[in-house]
Amino acid sequence: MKPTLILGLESSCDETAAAIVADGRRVLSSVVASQANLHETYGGVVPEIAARAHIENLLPVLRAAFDRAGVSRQQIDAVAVAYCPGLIVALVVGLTAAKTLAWAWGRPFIGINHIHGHLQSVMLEEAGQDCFPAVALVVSGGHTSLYHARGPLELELMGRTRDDAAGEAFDKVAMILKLPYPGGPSIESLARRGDPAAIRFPRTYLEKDSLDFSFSGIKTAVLYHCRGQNMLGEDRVERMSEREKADIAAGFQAAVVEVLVRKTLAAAARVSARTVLLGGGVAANSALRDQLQDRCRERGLDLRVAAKRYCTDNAAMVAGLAYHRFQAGLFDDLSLEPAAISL
Amino acid sequence: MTAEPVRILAIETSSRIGGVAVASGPRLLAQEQFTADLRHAGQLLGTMDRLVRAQGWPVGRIDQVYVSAGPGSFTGLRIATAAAKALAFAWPQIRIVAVPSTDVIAQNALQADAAERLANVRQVAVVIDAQRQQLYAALYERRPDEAEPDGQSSGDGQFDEPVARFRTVRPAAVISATQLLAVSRKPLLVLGPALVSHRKALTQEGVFFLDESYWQPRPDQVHRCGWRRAQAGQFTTADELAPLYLRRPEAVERWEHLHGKT
Repeated sequence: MKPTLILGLESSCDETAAAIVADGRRVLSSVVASQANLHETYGGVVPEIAARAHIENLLPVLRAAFDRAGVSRQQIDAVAVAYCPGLIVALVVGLTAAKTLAWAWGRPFIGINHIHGHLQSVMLEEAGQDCFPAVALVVSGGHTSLYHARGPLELELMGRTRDDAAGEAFDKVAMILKLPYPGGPSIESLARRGDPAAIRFPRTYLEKDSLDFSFSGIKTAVLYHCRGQNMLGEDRVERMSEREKADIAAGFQAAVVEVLVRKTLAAAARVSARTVLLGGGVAANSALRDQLQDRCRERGLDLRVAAKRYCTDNAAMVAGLAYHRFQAGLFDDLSLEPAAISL
Repeated sequence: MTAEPVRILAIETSSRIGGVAVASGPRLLAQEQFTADLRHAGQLLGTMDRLVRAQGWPVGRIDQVYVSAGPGSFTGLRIATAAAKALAFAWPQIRIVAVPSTDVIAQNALQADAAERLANVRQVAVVIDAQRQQLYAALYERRPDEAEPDGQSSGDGQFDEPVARFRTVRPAAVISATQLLAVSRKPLLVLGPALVSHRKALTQEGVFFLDESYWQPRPDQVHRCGWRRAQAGQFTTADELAPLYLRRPEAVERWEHLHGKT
């Protein structure tokens, strides 16, 4: 039987991506144009710079996705795109292109929630067979969310960050320590040389039984550690030994990972899930993967982690999730608008 | 042998009010403006769909797309640009013309009912709000029929209309109201959406304003300008098509200002 081919687009933040996925699982191509170098100077994503780069990258990325997949334009069965949450000025580029392609080819158009897509990235290729029901942690530069997943489309939000996303905290702490952007890999690499127990940063668990997250406090704790209480002291980072910086990175990472792991396990216990899914850019962090793996093993939980290439923003996850909507006949109207928040 | 008429889609999303026009060669068939301000992302495709269907055209048989390329709202410009790029990717026979949005607005001054004002002025200025107390402005001049077009703007930016002939004296650039008054020749006729906020700053002897109904760029004018450019062979490839921003991202300007670069 002819496979269902879905073209996915993604432009919610600072990656322009296109992918073609067969039957929601087999990735025929996944092309990502990263803009990290464009935003490095500013220590974070500048929306207008991201949006301009999306326009420039759009056609090269689309062309590469078709070339690598070796399929023709006529073979595409539906066009999907991440339409929320994200930067409106960035989302609108991929959204407009996807709607136009669907219209031009007379194919169904499908809008995808970017966070739900991250969760789907666990199910790409073989990793995600028979994984429902599950608890899913999506953790990235823009999001930190826990879901009860009964199926690819049956997602119930159990908790999310009330302030910074975990990845955002990594970026901000990297900035405090004057490490290169993006902060995740920089912190992880420095933390390997540090002692996670040398400096104990606060863990924020919020109210008893809450599955929400808060990471702004720990970022502030790192700032105070480096610049004195209330930032009245001098910035010591320049004079700090490599050892001390490594200890800060390790202590910070340990605190974030501990909160993520404990809340995820609490969520799994609450809904008696047997499987835990992990996706999003911070899922590439080895400390998080290793600790979650150990704790899950202790409790007899099956942990499925997205392949590293699908942890960061990509369009294969968008096309993968869209397949389930395609099968269910859940199409979107061409009037779909981008949204900054998760809908 | 008669050639097939050229099927054209014209997109205007550079300003507060967006719209789409369909045309057959030089002939406008229909145009529709969006029903709400700043809803370009939500209304563009539905409007395109309605207009194209009403003509009975298969989408794959569109020949040319004209885009109001800026200056204007950055997000608006990207919406039209992304749509045009995607259309040309879907159907590679589609050819694209990028029209400066200032030319699109200038066309409004050539409407019969505005022509009276035009007959007595030296130059025409189109003004679009560039934020931070500045304007995107372009200057045009009536070109006497006998005059040779000057080399600099030959072909590009000129457009003939029944009422008057214009040539571009200054293409769109970021400029303050004071600077615009200094470089323009009076009597000067001014139109464009920036008059909502900059009318007072542009008020001076010898400066006249067109009525508010002429300020907004319209899709039929995108078609008119685009058609002229297409006749002159001024197409752009889908890869080259880029919004005419004229201004760098604010974060870049601020960063360079802070770090002493200009």
